Amino acid sequence: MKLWEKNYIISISFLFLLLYGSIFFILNDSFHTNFSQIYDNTLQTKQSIVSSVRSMLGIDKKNTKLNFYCKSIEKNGISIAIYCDEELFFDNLPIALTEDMSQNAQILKQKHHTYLYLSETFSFKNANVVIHYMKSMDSFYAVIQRQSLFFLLSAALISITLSLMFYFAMKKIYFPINNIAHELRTPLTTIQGYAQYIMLGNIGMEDIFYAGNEIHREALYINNIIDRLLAMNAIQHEKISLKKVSLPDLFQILQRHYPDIVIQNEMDYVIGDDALLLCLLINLISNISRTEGEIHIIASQSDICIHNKKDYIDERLLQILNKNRSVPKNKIQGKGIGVPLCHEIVKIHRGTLLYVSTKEHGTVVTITFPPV
Amino acid sequence: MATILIVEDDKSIHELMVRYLTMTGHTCLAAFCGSEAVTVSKSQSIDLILLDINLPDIDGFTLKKQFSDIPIIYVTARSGIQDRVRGLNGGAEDYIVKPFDFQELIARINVVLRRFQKNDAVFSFQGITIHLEDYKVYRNQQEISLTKQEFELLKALILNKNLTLTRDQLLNTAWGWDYDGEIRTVDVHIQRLRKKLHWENYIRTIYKIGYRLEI
Repeated sequence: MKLWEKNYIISISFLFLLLYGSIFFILNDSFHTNFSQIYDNTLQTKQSIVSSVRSMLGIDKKNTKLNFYCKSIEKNGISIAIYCDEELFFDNLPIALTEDMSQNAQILKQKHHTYLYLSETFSFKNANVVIHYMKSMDSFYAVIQRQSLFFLLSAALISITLSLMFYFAMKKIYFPINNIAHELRTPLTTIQGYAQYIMLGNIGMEDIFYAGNEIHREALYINNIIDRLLAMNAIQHEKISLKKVSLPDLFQILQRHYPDIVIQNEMDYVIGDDALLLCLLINLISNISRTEGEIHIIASQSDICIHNKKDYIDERLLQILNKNRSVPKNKIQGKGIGVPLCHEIVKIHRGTLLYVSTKEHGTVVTITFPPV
Repeated sequence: MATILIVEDDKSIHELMVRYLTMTGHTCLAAFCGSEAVTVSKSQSIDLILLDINLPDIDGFTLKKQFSDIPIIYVTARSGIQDRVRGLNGGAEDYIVKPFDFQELIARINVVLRRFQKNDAVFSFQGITIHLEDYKVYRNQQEISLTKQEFELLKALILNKNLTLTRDQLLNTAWGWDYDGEIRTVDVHIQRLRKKLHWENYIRTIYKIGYRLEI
């Protein structure tokens, strides 16, 4: 496992611990608050029921009124049993009483139902009256369950979103370093190899020239990578100051890199960073000059167009390039770090970058700058 | 010599490998992606595969599973210890990280070929037959007597033919790294070797560097 993956797992585990811990704390607190509220209400109800029962006891011999009253409160989810000197007066409790039921409040469970059990003892005409009281807690637990489910689903959603965001953010930070290390090793292998080939190989002048050419090409490529790294470093550390950049001067420098390009310039300046703009133009030209064909640069109004009549990019790759998605490895002709950098530079200049390509007219890359 | 399939997507490195291996007498087959490598391996007899891990269509570790009976050396820019362990545990014979020394690559290739007995045991050139494993040299059926050091020098030159070997390399090969003598000892032994084999025109002195067997 790579170091950044380990860091990612540690960070995300800590985040999950914090998230799910907080949810557990919230749910626990909410349960206790709601339960104590229900318990208080139940105690009050129980007291009023006890008073009512006390007033109704002995009104008539058959306790008809008391029976009627007990049945009427059953509708509110309250069940009671009344014992007078261990003689049963009334019982509609859903759970049979057992001896281990204490005088204190208890939560009783039977099948899928939950009850809050309370009892009260008082004296009535020298007799010992015990009222056993059970209140259904099903609706309370249903609410708690729904609440927990809602919280857990939200937490799952948040954790998935956060972990993905975090993963891609870390990958984005790690990827360029890993990729660039890889990209530097490849040209270095070529340079080292061809240098050895010249020194140690039994080769003729033609091969020596070929090897020298390869070394030169790869050295230029490393130089290009270093320029890109410097540009990326500037972007990442926001060391960018946008100011007036003279386009004729910029094109003059560009022509030193690409002496064969044809430039038609009607613009005096653009607002931007000169080093980044040069890096952008070099990358774009390098991208569309892989095939043969003359490169034309036309700068007018607020657009700079780079055109190669003989270059063609297929539609799928065109979409990927315009949406700045990662280019599939088999489609990368260079090393694949140029296009995202170009988009990043254009974004800093608050402009847009558009690739258009047809077989008839070739490829045109247009950078549109915001009007000055 | 051996037939080696080079699976490498970077054209420049690919070309360089071909040049080195061809120069040292191997036959090279080319593949620039995984699917191409599979196709080539089905149509040709291959002694060894040099396999890059970062290929355009498939990674080298996955591709390796398709070549269970051919020895493989990974040649890759992936230097992480986990990649190396994965590569070697997966059955590769060696794991070489870019940038690498091409002479080292050839030496490692020779080790693998020797392990799998795919190296030529007999080398013949200009009427001289050299039995590399038996330490015997013949001219027209008549044995030429060589010392152990002379034979080691000869073997190193043959295995790296057309490549210059420095005096240090030759000294280490024939006498071992802990040899305390003069580096010029190599020159004396090379002179003797030239005379015994009549290879004055083939074992070339490379000024201030070393020697090369030019074939």
